[in-house]
Amino acid sequence: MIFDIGYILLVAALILAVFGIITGFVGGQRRHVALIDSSFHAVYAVAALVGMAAIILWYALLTDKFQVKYVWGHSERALPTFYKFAALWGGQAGSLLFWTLILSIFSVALVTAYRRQYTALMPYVNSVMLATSTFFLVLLVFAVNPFEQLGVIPADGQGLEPLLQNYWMVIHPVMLYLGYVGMTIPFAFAVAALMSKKLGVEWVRIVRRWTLVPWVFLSAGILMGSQWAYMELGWGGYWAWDPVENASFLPWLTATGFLHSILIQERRGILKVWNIVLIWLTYFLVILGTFTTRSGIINSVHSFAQSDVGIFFLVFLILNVFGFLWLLFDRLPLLRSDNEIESATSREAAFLANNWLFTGIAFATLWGTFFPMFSEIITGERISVAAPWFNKVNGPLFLLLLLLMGVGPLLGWRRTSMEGLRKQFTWPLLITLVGAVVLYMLTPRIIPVLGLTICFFVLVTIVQEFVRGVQARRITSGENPPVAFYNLLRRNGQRYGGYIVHLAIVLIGVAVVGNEFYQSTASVTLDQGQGTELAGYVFTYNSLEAIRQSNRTEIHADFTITRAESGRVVGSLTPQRNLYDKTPDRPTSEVGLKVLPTEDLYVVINSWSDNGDRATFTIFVNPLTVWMWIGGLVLILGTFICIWPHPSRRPSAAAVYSPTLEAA
Amino acid sequence: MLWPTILIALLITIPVLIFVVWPLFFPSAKVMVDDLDESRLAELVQRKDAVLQSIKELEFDLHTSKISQADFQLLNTRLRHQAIGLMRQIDKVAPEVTELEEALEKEIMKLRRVDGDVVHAAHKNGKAPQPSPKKAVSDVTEDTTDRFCRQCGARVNEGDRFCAKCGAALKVAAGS
Repeated sequence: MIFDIGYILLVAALILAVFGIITGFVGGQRRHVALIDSSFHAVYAVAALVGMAAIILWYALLTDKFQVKYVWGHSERALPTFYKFAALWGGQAGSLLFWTLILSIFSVALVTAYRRQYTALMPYVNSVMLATSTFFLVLLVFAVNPFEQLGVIPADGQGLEPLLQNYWMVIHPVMLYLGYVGMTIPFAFAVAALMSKKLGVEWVRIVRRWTLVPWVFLSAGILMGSQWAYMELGWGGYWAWDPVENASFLPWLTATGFLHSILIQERRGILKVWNIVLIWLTYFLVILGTFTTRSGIINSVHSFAQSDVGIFFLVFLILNVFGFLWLLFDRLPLLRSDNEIESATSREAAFLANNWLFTGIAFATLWGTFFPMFSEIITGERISVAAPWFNKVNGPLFLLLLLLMGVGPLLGWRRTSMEGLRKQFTWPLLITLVGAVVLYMLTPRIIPVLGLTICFFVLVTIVQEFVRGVQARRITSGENPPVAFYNLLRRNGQRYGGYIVHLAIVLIGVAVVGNEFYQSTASVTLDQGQGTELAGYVFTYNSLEAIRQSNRTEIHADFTITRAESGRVVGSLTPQRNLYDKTPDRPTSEVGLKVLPTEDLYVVINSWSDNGDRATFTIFVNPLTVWMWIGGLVLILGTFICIWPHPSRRPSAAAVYSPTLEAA
Repeated sequence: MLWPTILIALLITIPVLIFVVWPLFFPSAKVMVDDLDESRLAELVQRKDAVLQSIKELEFDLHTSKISQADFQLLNTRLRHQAIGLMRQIDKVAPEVTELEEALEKEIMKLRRVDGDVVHAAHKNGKAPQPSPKKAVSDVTEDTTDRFCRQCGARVNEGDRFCAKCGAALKVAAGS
């Protein structure tokens, strides 16, 4: 009974969401207070109903109600409770419900924050948020009902997908969803600005934080996905340009472009069309990403035809494209720039180049991701585009982007004089030159040295920016260096937090070059007690043992690592294989990893014989890879500095708003 | 089992439905009576904040040698004119907010005075009307010191010796 109620709640949520779209839209057009107020209530109501539905599904998962098809298909009695909880987003119907739940939570946060502000924009914002909810509720009600029942009560479920039974895989989708779904907010404001014709600086200023929050979740989600691939898939890398990976990376690219580009609209009143288009692309790519991962269209056009949700997504995407383009063209005269770009050596030009590069990489990635589908439709034959193609096309674009990250911040508004160029670039270029020579002497290989040199250049410019900033504060405020440094981050967080994020990207760049160009690998068969040497380390295989867990058997191999030269013990590591009771034909792998500051030592079990007396392993030495995860942490830190409110802004904003409201 | 299910579902959904349509029948009086003006004001304030922030950043760019003296002068004047224009508009939209009005009026006066001073000082030195970076910046800094507290950033009144919010001692600008 309770599961029928769950379904009815979703139907009610759908009806109220549609009602809220209408009241928000009409209320916004006619500036009708009661209608607008009702649209706010609809946002809360939809959230409450979706929340209750999610709780019912969680209840079914945690109490093993296998009569529910979703629970039967994605859980089992022996599944650890933690994974039962996470099974909500382990399958199609549940993950779509989870999407809707997060969207509802974001919507509630938004309307609670701005119930009494931005009265021209908010009705339309409510409409767009509810329209997105409506789409997902339509899927849940008409295509994939998470509360569908089997009619019988099976004794046990089929179990959760083995690959998902991993700590990273539990947290990673949540982060991605928070990032994905959160991007609806800036898009909703962009549409509201177009609808209300308030296309000035207001919406741009509001959405900066509302974009940074989902952006940091999306970034963390992508990095966690990479970490999962690195730890679970056991091929020594973390990124394969797989369609599912690309689905998360595409909106990240356009959102990152958007975050940069709105800075310019705020300061100089240009790139207005760019900003609207970039955030629309982000929203579009978010829905497309959900579509590609949910419909299976990339694996095969035929699986799309069999998918329950494919056609719904397709219709929604088409409506979105035409609706948005119509609105954009209708409002185009209102989006004229207040200024123009006067010189190629100006910060404005650098930001424009930045937009082109991000969009370029996004389009190349999109093309590569969908190429197999196009080729199948046109020629009937699937031609896949593999990682080397992506690296070849995107590699140089990323290098340019990295270079721009160093050059752009040093340029001035409007134009940079020769004198200015000399002052800004002399030291960074000299130091970089010395660095490049040293690097080339250490490893005489052109492409990786070029990559590392550009990373080094960006690092030097960031240091120079901080040094000059501290000096400037010392001159104006007489602060000592640590105080000046603190105040730089505290009072100028948008810029200096941004530099910290740039630093994070440099660290990630270094890790990419290290892993991509300097990796050593060997596939070896070892007897117990036997060792093998790779990249200056000796890996000795000690033993193999089986450990029983609730729903699986774990096979652990024990290794000792010593330095080849000195014989000093570096540490031990334990690669692992998991054999799941429900899916014995699909074992999963956990790599054995020893992380050192300069390199990762990484071992994977391939197979074993004679009860483990003899086993085959793949061993990798991955230089600098740990800096990717450190870069991830620095990125989160930098974003927090960007988001943190400026100390003087809060009281000033309050002073402006409160008297008017009291008067009203 | 059918009827109890429907009954419970109705018990949950009907109150929610009533909650949504409630404002249509019983509009709340306190919400957005004069929303058009308020929204216009909010927009103007946002724009003014953006311009003031740009001015601050421009000064910072001058300090870190990212922008030439001539460009600084040009952009600075342009931005300050924009700020004055916006403050005037804000003044028009919300004249009833006396406290705000007063503060803004002061801001406008300050901006005007600084502009005048800068140009005036340069003329007196017999140079082209471009001030030394130090002069321009120190003027601006003084200008900011008596409007905002350096410690906590709160707005302070001219002539105040201590910040009303955090109690920090304030520098009183020379000449005021």
